[in-house]
Parts: sequence; structure tokens; C-alpha cells
Amino acid sequence: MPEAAAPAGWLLVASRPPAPHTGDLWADATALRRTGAAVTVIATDDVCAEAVLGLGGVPGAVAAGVTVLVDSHAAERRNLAGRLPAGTAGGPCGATDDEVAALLLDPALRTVWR
Amino acid sequence: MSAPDRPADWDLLVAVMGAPYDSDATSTVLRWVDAATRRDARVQVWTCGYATLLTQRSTGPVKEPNPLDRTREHATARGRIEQLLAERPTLQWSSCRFCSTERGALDHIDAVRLRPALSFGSHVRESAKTVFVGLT
Repeated sequence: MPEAAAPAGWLLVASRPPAPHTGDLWADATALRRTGAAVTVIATDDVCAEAVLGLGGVPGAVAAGVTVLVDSHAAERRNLAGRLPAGTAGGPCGATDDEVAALLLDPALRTVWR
Repeated sequence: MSAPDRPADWDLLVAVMGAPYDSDATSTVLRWVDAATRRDARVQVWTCGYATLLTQRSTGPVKEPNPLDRTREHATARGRIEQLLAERPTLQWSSCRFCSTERGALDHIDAVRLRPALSFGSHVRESAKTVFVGLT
């Protein structure tokens, strides 16, 4: 099989909080961004709280230029939707299911779900 | 990964592995597969490991009644998947025969295709993009 073309960017789905066996997705996202790649993280499930509240590696990832999206549905279920900053430049912002689906379907985005 | 010399038959392959009730990931997958097929995307889902239990006929389409609110029904994962497959012609659901057999979980709902484990590679080749869920 021929070599796969280099991805235009990365989409990381952050579903599990960092743990010894999962490593730190935010550090990986930041490192990927420093290679020059476009990196988007969609924080869902229990990780959306970390993104909404700007905990752990989130500020560092945002500062490095990682685009951080928060699954609006998951945030709503956790009563966090009202805490999402509205239109903050570079900060985490909400994403609807339809917006996430568009990213998942983009063949140019190499997607890792963790 | 995709075959470079011809258009892909599917826009997205979602491979769901591992324990389905270990986290919210299963309901998130179903919600995003729902959203993707609403956009008329051609999506196939492949389940391996304990995720093969998601579509067992024995589960039933609705959950046991909530003792605090018996007036409302809530779909099980199986019920939700069955509904999606009925409503979305661009969605296909396959389950690994090897993993199903190993877990005594061969009695899937009718809409699920039981596929040999080694056919997984062809599902990947048919798809413009593959996303694995449940591997850490």
C-alpha cells in the first residue's frame, strides 16, 4: 500500500481524563502543534469540564495555538454550558453535534479518539 | 487510511472497541454517528470486543422502568442503534464474528451484519477515514 499522505491537520477527541495508562492528551496536542501542524481538540464526556474550566494542560495548549472545542451537549449535561466563554479569542468554545460531525468526516484531519 | 486509486465507498468507519459502558463514549459515538448520517454521510460502524454486546437481541429496545418515573421510556443502546439503522439508509453496522463468538454474543439484532474478523481490513480500505474508539 502506498504511503498515506501527510494529514492537513489533527483532530484529537478528548474523552477520558488523563491517567497513567492514557497519558496526557493536552501535552500531545501541544507537542503536535509545535511541529507546525494544525491541531483541534474536541473535549467531550468527562473531559469537557477540564476544558470549560481551563484546568490542567488546557491553557498551555491554547497558548500554543491548539483550537479547543467543547462538546456542547456534554457540557450541557454537566451543567457547564453557561460557563463556556462566549467568543473568547483562542479560548475554548462550544461545538454542536453537527459541527463535530463535519470535523469527523473531514478526510484531511487525522483523528485520534482517546 | 483509504485506497488512493478509487473513491471510497464510505465516508467514515467508526471502530468501537472495548467495554461499552466503561464511560460515556458509547452514547457520544451514537450521537455523533447520528449527526454525521443526518448530513447524509455514508458511515459504517464496526464493533469489536465487548462492544459486540451493544446490539444483542436479549438486551431489549427499552430500559427497565425508572421507579421514580414510570411514565417515561428510555431506549437502550440496542434500541437506539436499531432506530438509527431503521431511519438512516447511509448507516451500516457490523460486528466482529470472532469477538461475538468468544463472548457468546452471536444473537445480534437483524440489522447488524456479522463479519469475519479478518474482513476488518477491507472495511478500512472501503472508507475514506477510520476512527478508533475505545483504545487508549
